Amino acid sequence: MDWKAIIDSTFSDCLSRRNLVRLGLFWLAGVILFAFYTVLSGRLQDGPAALKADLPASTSDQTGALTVWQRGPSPEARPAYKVVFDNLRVENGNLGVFKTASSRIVYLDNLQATFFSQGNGADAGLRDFHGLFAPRRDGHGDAGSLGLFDELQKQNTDWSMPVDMSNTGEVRVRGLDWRVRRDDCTVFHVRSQHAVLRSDWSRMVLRGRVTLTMSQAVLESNCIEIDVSNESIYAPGRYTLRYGGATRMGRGGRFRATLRPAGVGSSDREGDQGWANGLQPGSF
Amino acid sequence: MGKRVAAWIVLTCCGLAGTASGLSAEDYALAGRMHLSQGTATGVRQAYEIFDAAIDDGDCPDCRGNCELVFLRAVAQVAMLFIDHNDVLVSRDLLELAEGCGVALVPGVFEGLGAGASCRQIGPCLLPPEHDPDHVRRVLAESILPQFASILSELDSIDQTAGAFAIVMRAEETGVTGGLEIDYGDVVILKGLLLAYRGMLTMQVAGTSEPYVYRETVGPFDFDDAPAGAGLLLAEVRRLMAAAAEDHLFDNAAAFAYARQDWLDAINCWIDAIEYVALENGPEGTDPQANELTYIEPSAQPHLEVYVHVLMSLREALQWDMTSLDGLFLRRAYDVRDSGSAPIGELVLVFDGVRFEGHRGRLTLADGDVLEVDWFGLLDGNRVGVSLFGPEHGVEAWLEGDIDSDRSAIGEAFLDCWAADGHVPAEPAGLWEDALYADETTRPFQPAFQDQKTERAGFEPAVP
Repeated sequence: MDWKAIIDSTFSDCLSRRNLVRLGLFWLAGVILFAFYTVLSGRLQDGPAALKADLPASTSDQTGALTVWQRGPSPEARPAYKVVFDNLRVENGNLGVFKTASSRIVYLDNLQATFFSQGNGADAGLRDFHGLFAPRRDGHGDAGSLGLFDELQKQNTDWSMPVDMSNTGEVRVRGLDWRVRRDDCTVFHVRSQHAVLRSDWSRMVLRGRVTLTMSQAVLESNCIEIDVSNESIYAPGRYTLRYGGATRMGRGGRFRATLRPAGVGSSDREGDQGWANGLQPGSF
Repeated sequence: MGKRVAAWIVLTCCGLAGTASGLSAEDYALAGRMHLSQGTATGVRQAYEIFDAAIDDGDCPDCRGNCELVFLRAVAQVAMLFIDHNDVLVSRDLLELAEGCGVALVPGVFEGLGAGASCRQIGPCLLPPEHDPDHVRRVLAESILPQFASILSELDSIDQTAGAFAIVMRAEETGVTGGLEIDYGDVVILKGLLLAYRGMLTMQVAGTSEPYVYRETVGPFDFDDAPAGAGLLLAEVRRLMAAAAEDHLFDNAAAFAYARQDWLDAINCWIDAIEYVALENGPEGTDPQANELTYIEPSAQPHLEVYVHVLMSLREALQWDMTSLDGLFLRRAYDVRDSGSAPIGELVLVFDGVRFEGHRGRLTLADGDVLEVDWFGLLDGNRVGVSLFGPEHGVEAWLEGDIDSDRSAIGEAFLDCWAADGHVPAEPAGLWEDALYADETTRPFQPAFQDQKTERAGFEPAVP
């Protein structure tokens, strides 16, 4: 009987109006404390190493102009990259001839991406660019958000995603200017009218008078594909490769990231082997 | 109070049991979809079992004939075929076929099934040597093709009445914020795809050579070079028609007829689907499209024009046993004008396949000069981009503008020309020719529409 009495007493107490009020006050206090902690910890983490994003007011499907600086851990540290674009717009993707809500396309207008290389190697930062702008796969298949905005969300607690970019399967850039700078010199420069990056590709496709400048070499074509998985560059159509005063024109040229011919067969056919091997990375 | 608590427990248990014994179609569908969205072989199998149990559940008043359950079971059953027969079927083939036929599938359901995707490249790929052709034919004929017949029969049973069939997949299942709607148009698209796939498999059973769908085909299509699967539809129909004339198929005339009929039905499905999807939101606002798995936007007009033309030409060719597909390639001429409506020239484009894309054509400038097309395609909505070149003068150019299919015009266009020898002309058109032809008294004749693709190299990994 004692046991039953205890149980009866406990349930009755819990359901009494006074206890319900107490419980409500306790929850409210917890919520206030949690919110206070979140704000405080966010401010503490917002140190000099964080990304800085200058974002104007935006509508739900576009951001407007954006400038992002990524700097090193100390205020004196050199920047890692700077990204500027006029607008970012999100639309539904394509399924064959149809549009679909199952994936999205992000459009970037007039993208200027500058990477500040610290190393001495000959890498042109192909992976850096792809890592920032190619959509990443998420748990639902091929689509995900952009690396740039993943970084912003992770590193800067002030940042909030201005548009819904979930399920992004493709990024299309209209007007691209992409540079890699080292020791105050531009060592790699790409310009094109258009660029496409997809979550299921390791390559970027650039179209519309693409110029890729490196060292004293300039590769020019209406289409250039850059594969970040093996850091190779491919011009599927007609291309022009200039080095110093020499000019070589061909079709279907394949090159390493340093603009040296990569495929032996292709190079033999195009006659690029030999003279292009003399290209060395450097500043221009 | 203790008795009251005990009664609550008993009632709860009884209630749950009672509910379990009387599951509704919605309960089954939600449970099955949860497993299906995992995208794993186990998940697909469990989903199939749930949908199957639902349709056979006599105590479920709304399960029998439920369109959602029928559709989901069909999807799961197709996926199961690739799991159970991974030595015969490769799931990526279906995805590539879908893309080649212009009705690309959402790969989520079919990815991660471990279906033995030994061939990952796009385009022709011979049957792996470890696959015994006789084994493939036997499994196809005895197991796979009958199951396809069953699946297609089930899809046929789904009601066509507008608004009668719609599934909204939740964000947890698809990752799509706000849910993703699947409706009757998607059923018809899937049915067309399965019919085409069955036609290809039927031909494998009937043929005597390696029974693999992507055999090397002759003709102008280079799969390695073409945009993903662009020429696959045409190549397969060409193969189907060419096979009809081969001696070894005379003994399998019935199989050939079945395959041909499947392709005809598939093409009809896709045309019906376009018609259905295009009219879904009429009158305007009755069925908002932005959350649907497939819908059509007005900006898709240039693309649709090409697609429908190719489908109707293929249908005609198949219906009349035409061995020539000469009339298949759509050719269109466009009046090109800049942002000030000043004429740039006339652009003629020849489309490679079912997309607004190709490698042939020419631009005749206002002053009579001619540039050949190296590539063209849609860049963004109805924005078209064209790579051009002057064949013997090292001139390259990029043309871009907004296409208006109804008026056969390209407006707001700009033409960027440059000389490949490093001299960049100051003006896009008209002025650069002086530099180009300064040492020539006559300009050489350039053949139009020459095939550029034969010289192209495939994209292969670079030598490290």
